[in-house]
Amino acid sequence: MALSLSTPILAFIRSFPQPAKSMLILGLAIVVSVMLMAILAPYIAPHDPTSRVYVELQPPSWKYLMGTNHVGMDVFSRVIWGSRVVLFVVVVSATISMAFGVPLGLASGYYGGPVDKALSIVMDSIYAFPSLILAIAVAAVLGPSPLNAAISIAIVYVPTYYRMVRGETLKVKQMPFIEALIVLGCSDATILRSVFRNIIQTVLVVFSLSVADAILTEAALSFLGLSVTWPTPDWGLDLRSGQPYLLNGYWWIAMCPGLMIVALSLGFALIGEALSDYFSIATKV
Amino acid sequence: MAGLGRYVIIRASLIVPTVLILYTFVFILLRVLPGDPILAVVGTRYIPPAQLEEMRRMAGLDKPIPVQYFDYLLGVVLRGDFGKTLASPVGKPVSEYLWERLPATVELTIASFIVASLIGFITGVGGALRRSSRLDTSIRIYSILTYTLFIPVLGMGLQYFLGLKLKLFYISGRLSAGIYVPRLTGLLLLDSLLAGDLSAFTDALGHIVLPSLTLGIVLSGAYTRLIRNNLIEVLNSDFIRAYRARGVPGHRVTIYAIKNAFIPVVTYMGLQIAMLLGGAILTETTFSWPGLGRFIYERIEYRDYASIQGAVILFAFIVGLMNLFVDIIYALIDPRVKY
Repeated sequence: MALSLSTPILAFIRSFPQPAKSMLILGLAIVVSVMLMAILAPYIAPHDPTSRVYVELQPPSWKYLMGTNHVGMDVFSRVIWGSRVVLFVVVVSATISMAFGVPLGLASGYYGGPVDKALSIVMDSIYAFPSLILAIAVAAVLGPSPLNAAISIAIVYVPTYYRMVRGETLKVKQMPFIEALIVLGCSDATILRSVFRNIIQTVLVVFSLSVADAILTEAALSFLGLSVTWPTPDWGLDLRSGQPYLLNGYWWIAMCPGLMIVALSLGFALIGEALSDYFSIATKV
Repeated sequence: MAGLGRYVIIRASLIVPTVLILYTFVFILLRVLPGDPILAVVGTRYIPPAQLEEMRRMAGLDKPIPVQYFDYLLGVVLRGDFGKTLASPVGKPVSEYLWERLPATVELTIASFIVASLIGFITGVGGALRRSSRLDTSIRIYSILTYTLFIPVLGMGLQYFLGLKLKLFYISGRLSAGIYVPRLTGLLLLDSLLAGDLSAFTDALGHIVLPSLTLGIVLSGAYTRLIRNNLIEVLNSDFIRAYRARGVPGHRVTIYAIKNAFIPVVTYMGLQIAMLLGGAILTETTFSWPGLGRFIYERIEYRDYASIQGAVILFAFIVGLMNLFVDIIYALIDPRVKY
């Protein structure tokens, strides 16, 4: 039964030309396995991530796949549990920024007028500013916690969705079928829904690419101590706390969670690249 | 040249609203968000209410919000005054820190920019000239990878291999202990040369290699992609075909094409500034590089929001100024821009 449900998805993936297909498959494989890791953490983590299980600073071995950290915790278990924080922050922040960015962009592009002009200028100014610095400023005031990190990231990514959706709306607005809807006397809600259905591909691409970026921003906030607090397992935090040991030769404490950050971000970037190839959408550079 | 002067003035006046919007945005954000800056500094310690009021008054937080807005803005614009620190050492002008830290960030960003454009140029031109080859595919993968390389991960990797294992470069800081460079510009590479101190220069160089390589590599991917795509487009354009038809030698045509492919790259540099400055925070933190980014990190630990606000607003000014600078260069190199 599950097979019949997954058939349209498989057919969709098969319809991709190379090299986009390989990129999509690799990206999906990474993202899905990290998601499974987060969901199944209590069942697959071999040890308790926050308690001392063995002698500290042991290199990777069969019993402790990624070695032990400076207080004797199992790095592998911490990496598995750490996936939960990243995914939580990224999912919450992407939902919030889409909830604001997409409708604002749609309305702004469709109605135009002075409000649209003012909103565009504000969004462009925020967009031109380093998003990480802005996220840090917000997170610093809100105080360190995963939810606050998510809110800070959400705020800085609203302009990304807004700009892309507004631009696409302006394009779709010109099309004859929208004119037809207007002539037929459809309500604004119907027309906007129809515009949205035509820009959903763009939203999908922007979503994948900005999630790839948001993962790095999330990692940066926790690296700078603005998300979870020790000893909660988190990739960015573990990277930071492992650095002094890395500089003494104990590379695994920092590098294992660090490489996971890169891998997860790469997963979303590959999906975004493949989708933009497929829909032939020119993304920003 | 009079035309250019006017163009610069018009462009310069256009950055004012951008910086103002950013200032307003940061200002509102820092006040609307829940969280009291004074209580954040105090933490769980007990401080008598009278002293809290005194701290509030000193930070200017007792005044009505519109007054605070204009006071701060005028202070920054007229006197370069970014307020006073809220955490230890309490009451030190934030601007002192900012000016002390700014040159380190400037030096790092210039060095990283050079690294990024060199790598971007070589890989971008290589990819475009050997389009759809295996080389081109690996260059494309490289540019996606740099997009997702987390700066501290790359930085620590370089620290481990090039610093710790091969002992080629220093792994942190800007200068070794015991070496002193008289401050003129604050850029150590320049100051040590001006002082004629070659050993200080090589020491400073040995410190800047790893951080600038890290930030440079991460930023290079965007250049790779941009140069590659532009060059492919230019190589397919009519005027290049016309050159070829007239029998202009292949390498000269390539040089013409590369020159033309570079114009859009300059506009993109303005956007890159934002990425460069954002990346500087992580690079500086990873390498204990005493710049503005590391300053923000240090003040986060003190929860000193006055310093953070000051640094963020200084960044806004720098972004605005750099965009102006890029506009001017663009006008100078592209004859199609009218001024």
